[in-house]
Amino acid sequence: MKTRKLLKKLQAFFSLKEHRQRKRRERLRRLLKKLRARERKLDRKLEREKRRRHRKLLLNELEVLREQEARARALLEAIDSPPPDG
Amino acid sequence: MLKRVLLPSIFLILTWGFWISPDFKQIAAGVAIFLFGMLSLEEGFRAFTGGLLEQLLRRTTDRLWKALGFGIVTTTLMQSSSLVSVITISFLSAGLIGLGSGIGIIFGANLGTTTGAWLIAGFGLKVEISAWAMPMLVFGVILLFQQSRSLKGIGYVLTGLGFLFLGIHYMKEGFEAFRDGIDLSRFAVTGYAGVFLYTALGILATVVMQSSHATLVLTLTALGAGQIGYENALALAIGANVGTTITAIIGSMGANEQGKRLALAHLLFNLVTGAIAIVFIYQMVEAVEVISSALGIAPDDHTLKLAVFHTLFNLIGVAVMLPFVSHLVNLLTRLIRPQVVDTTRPRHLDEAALEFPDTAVEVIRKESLHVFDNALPIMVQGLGLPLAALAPGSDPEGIARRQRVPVQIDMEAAYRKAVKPLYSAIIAFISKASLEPQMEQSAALHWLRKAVQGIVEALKDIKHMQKNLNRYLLSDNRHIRAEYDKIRITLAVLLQELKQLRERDDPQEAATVLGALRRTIDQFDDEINRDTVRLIREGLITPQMGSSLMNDSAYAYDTAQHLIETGETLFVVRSPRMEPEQRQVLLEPKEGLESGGITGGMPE
Repeated sequence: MKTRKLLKKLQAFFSLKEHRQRKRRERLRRLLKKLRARERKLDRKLEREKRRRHRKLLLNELEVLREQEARARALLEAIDSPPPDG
Repeated sequence: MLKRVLLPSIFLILTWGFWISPDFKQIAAGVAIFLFGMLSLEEGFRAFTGGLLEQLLRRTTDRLWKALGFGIVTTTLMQSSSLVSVITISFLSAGLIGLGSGIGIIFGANLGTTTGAWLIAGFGLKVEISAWAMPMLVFGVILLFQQSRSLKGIGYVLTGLGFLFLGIHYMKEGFEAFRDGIDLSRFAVTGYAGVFLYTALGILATVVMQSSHATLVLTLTALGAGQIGYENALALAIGANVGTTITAIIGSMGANEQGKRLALAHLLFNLVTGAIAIVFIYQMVEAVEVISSALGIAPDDHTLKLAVFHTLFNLIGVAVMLPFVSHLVNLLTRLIRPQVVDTTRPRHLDEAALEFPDTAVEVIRKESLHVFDNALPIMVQGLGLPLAALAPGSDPEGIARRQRVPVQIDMEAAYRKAVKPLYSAIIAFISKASLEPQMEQSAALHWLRKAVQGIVEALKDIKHMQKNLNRYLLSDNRHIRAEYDKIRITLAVLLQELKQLRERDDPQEAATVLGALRRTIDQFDDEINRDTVRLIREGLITPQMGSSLMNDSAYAYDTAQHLIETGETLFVVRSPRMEPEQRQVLLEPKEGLESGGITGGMPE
């Protein structure tokens, strides 16, 4: 059983398709992490910002950022979910 | 003056040579055919540089050892260090690789070019290669008439190889026939006098033929026919190595400072290598004997021994110079400083980049950014604001309310001076880049041209607003004054943000901020339209004022849209740092972005 598992892992490791998916997943996770960090930074910036037009822009930026995060999560889920049968 | 005299003199000498010796004519014809073959080979490899070679270059030159390997492999495959040098200079000019990597490639190309001597000595002189040349020429010429770019490329490579082989054959025949009439080996000079004399001859021959490869082949064939001595042949090979850098120096005269630095690095490397080879020539000859016997080369096979010598002294050169690459970069940066920059002249449009589609796209993106840099101050001044409004952390809102003076700048003159020359140069450059419409780079050039056009349109829109800005910013009616301030402030905030995005060069941040700016501008448009209707209805502004305000808010909206689209193309979509996942996540799947070149496709 263990050998079969190991074999499967090795096969996945050397498969080109798996390799590409793994790289994609890594890049998406890295991007998501960056987006979250930027969101926290913007939140702090918004607390300090006094200029009216800039505040408006920051609020819009936060909105765009949240949408980007949602898109990144959706893409990650699509990669992680098993392919449909047939 | 020299050029005017040199060419007729060469023609006269050659004609005289042809007159007195038919064998000399055959050797000269061999050299000419060989050089033509090299040109054809270069042309063939150019057909395959539509992205693949450039992608490879970009990926494989981040480390010095990788750059060195790239130089060795590509020069070995293409048998042309000059083509590799041209690509390297164009990449360096476009800022895609650093000077250190460029030097690594040049060192590698010097090693790669030594394989040519091995091929000719081990194969070209021992096998009847003219028999191979004929079918190659026939197949090659048939392929040249094909429509497909790749088939044409293969055709050029085949005809190139055919001509190379034919040229070697003619040179060999010529020298062998020459031997029966005149014995050139009588002119052999021994000792250091011979080394210096033949090194100088090697340099001269390479400068005249513009190819070290041709000099080396000529040397090998003459050596094979016993027309020159082994010792003198070694000196000729050293001379060819030094002479080849003169071609690179002449070529770099039109290049920017990075190209000049690389050419100087090439010269320094070959001079040091040449000096080492000359000083230790006798020790190296001993070493060649040891290596040759270890490799099983016959003691009287001087042509293969010359190939061993050529490889050995280039290897020693690389081993000696490689540890000093970073010092060399510092020295060259100090020696060749960038010229005083005239911002109204194109900075990046290097003609050499036209040969390579990805590089051409990148230099145009950089020049478009240059247009953007020049246009931004004109725009902010066109809104009647000082340049300080663009500084990060400044408050355009406060500045606009404090500074209500008529617009001073002559936008037309500023445009003609700082933007139009660059815009025209970009258009001319794009028209010279002969890309096929289906190529991805062709679509990229289309969107880049649209991006620059967007900057020009934005300038024109602001110019249209100037008259009313001057009239209403100083108006007694505070309501109209406040509305025009809103326009100025919104655009000033946009310009300030764009300037910061330009400086940070982060496609991820740019995509988010530009998305937010798009929403802000849409909200502003709704707000000002509502305000205008309300102000007219309540009688706070006259209908004439209202119509002016409506026109100018439309101009402001168009300005913002043009600039946001330009920003999306320059900072996000065409940024070399953009990854495929970032495209999918960061860009909003909506009409504006899609048409802004996100997918890179051509418009219908």
